[in-house]
Amino acid sequence: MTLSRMRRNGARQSIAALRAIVTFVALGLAACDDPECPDDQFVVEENGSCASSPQRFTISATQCHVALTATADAGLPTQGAMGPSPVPLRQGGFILYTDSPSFRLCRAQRVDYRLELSCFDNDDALVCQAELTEPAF
Amino acid sequence: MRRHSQGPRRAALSELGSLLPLAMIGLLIANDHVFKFVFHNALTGKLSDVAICFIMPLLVSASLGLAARIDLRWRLWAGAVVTAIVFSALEMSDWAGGWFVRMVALVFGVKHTVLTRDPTDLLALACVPLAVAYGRWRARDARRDVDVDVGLRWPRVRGALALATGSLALMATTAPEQCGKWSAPTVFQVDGDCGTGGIIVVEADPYGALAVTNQAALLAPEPDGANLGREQRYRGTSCPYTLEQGDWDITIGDCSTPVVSPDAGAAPIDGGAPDASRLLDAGSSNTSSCQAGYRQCQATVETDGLWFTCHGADPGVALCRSRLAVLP
Repeated sequence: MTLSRMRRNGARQSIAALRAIVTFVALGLAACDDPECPDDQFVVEENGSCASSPQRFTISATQCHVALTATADAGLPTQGAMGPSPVPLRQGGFILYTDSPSFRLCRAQRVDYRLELSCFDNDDALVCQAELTEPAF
Repeated sequence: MRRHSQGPRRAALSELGSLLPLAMIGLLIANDHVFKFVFHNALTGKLSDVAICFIMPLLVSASLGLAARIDLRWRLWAGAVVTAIVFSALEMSDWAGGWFVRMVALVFGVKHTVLTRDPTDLLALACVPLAVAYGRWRARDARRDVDVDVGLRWPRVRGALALATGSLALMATTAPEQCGKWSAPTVFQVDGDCGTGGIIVVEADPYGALAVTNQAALLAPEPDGANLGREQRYRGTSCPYTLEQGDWDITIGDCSTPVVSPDAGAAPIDGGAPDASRLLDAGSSNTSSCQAGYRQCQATVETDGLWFTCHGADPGVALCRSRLAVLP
């Protein structure tokens, strides 16, 4: 076998192997999904009947999960999730829920410039309502 | 002179750039990211282990060969020892598993890495000596090619590619996610006798494991002192999950060989008051190998909506039923 022929054979095998690897890597990447919920976080002021006094805390969305840095004084669950059609956090469309100290489910929706939370108990009775607004700095 | 000093290093990459290691890397990537999603069975659980135990000694050996002029035999056996230690540690040690998961999160930003452990996975270590034998065989060919300086450029390129791809594939090997798309929690109104009734929130993680908030509304708590295992899973094939379509279940306790009732398949009981005697029977059955308090509950769509039905040791007898209605 001549040198040039050996080189040609080697190059042909290499190209085939490269194609195989590229295909496998592409298949692997196809199994990954782009993030569906934009991550965001901002400070809000809470007013309404859930807290005995106005509260200030940070609300954040990470990989479609929602979290508040609020204390128990806020009267709100501190964990939740976006709905089936995720939208940016400021647009509402998420729920907050907890078992502790008792079951509470709050639904958030955007109304004008604020987020309105309606909170329900185990019997689906309205317990309190809260308004979240971004403070003016 | 230059060729003489570079030769062994060239050969180190060439032995990795041959067809079998490349095929094993392709198999590892395809299995971890495609086959496990599609088939998710015992075979896909073992394929990655076999591929890892073959690739890793060669990768370590090639890395050592690139870093320093180490004798082929020594670096291949070093690769074998490193593979045996790392693979065994990940299979048997919680500490090693936790460390690996943290490292993957740090390097790749992947937060949901799950290591599945099974002692039979250690059988894959049989591939380690095969990898050593293959490495020695390929190295002989590579050295011969170095001596005549033919056809070595492409094997080296393939070897470099294999080193990079194989290292990433080894780090990114994870348990399969059942569904990588966002599946929002579902809120149900529960009415029936399995629990106190009320509102529950059901959510499933990417691996199909369920979390139920306000569980008492759905299912009566276990008696004090009972320490029963609990498995909550979405069994459907939809992605995103469609929890409102049922196909999810909650199993409390363990029952290796449930007793089959002679009237199994009878019409389901109505949604009336709970039958306390049935509940008692299920919890104290001595005729089966079920744990006391064993219950298997399934959410299934029936003609009149979604129902959550629990059975005890006897799968033919429903212990309780609750109706689930989706709340917006």
